[in-house]
Amino acid sequence: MTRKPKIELILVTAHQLKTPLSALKWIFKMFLEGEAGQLTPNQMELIKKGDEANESMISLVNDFLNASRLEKNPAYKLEKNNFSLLVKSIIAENDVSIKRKRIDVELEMPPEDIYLICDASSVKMAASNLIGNAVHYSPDGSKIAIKVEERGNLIEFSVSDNGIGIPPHQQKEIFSKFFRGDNATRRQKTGSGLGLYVAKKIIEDHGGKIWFESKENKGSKFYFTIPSKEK
Amino acid sequence: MNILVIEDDKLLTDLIIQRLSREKFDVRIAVDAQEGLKFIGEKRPDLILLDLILPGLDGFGLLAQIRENPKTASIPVIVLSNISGKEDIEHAMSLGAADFLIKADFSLGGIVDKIKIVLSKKQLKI
Repeated sequence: MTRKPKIELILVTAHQLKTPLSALKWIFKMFLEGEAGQLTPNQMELIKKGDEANESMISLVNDFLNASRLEKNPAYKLEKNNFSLLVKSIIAENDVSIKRKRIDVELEMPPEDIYLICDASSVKMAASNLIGNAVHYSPDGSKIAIKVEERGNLIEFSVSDNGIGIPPHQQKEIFSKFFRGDNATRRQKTGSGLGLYVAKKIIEDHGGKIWFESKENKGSKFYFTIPSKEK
Repeated sequence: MNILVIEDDKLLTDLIIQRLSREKFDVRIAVDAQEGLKFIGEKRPDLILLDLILPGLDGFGLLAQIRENPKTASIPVIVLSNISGKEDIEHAMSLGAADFLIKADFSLGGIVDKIKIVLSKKQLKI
């Protein structure tokens, strides 16, 4: 099968999967929001677990769709965007997981808002994948540091955590499609291995660079830069 | 309030009917664009919940037809779809959708909240 039809197949399959997953989500939420009658604490716990598993599946399917779309036709819409606001909105969107894991998020940014010429939803997806990973792989009660700074005509974004880190022998592969570290797979079976691949593609398509420093069982720090001015 | 849902998935429509009926909405289901247009002609809905992937004419084509007809142009249409490409969202909004909701991103309670917001905006305009 050539590349384009394969991407089409992934897009169609992933899209088809979203209908039953949406139905499951609606049903689980009806129970969780008390709209389907009273549950015992045990039943509620089971529904919560079902809902969490379903959300993992939705997120997996979204990763497939995003990666396929980026390969097929990224269709970036370059506009002036407030990057500072975008970073704050990602943190707000991760609020439930951050609070559940009692993670302390330290955000360091210049007082004036930073603007970027970029495709907002794509750059948001790249930064969100890095912040999401930091939250996901950090132990409960730990700290995540997010920093945005201007370096000449570059904007540098970084996020560091005290999580599981990346085993040294697998660090070369971390941005490869479908790759997941041994320690990440042991910790959680589901995961697309597409988040960092997607982030790298988006950042490089914007003329930027992405890299990381990591020590297994100590934590990771991911960085990216994007040129702040139009070429 | 009278809501027309244009959606061809039976499980989803069963859940939508169950939830919207609890809010005392009068709900009708059309399974394709043709049936949707027939129902709109029979009784003007206060709001349309529209899927994009439909047998025959798709949701984009139907939305364009609703907007082109002076009799239906002002009916608010909320797109409820799992199509989530940026271009598709922009296309639907440029055709005059009141909102674009991705099914897998919302609970039915969240969808009801959005319907109420759009209906209250419509009442303010009247």
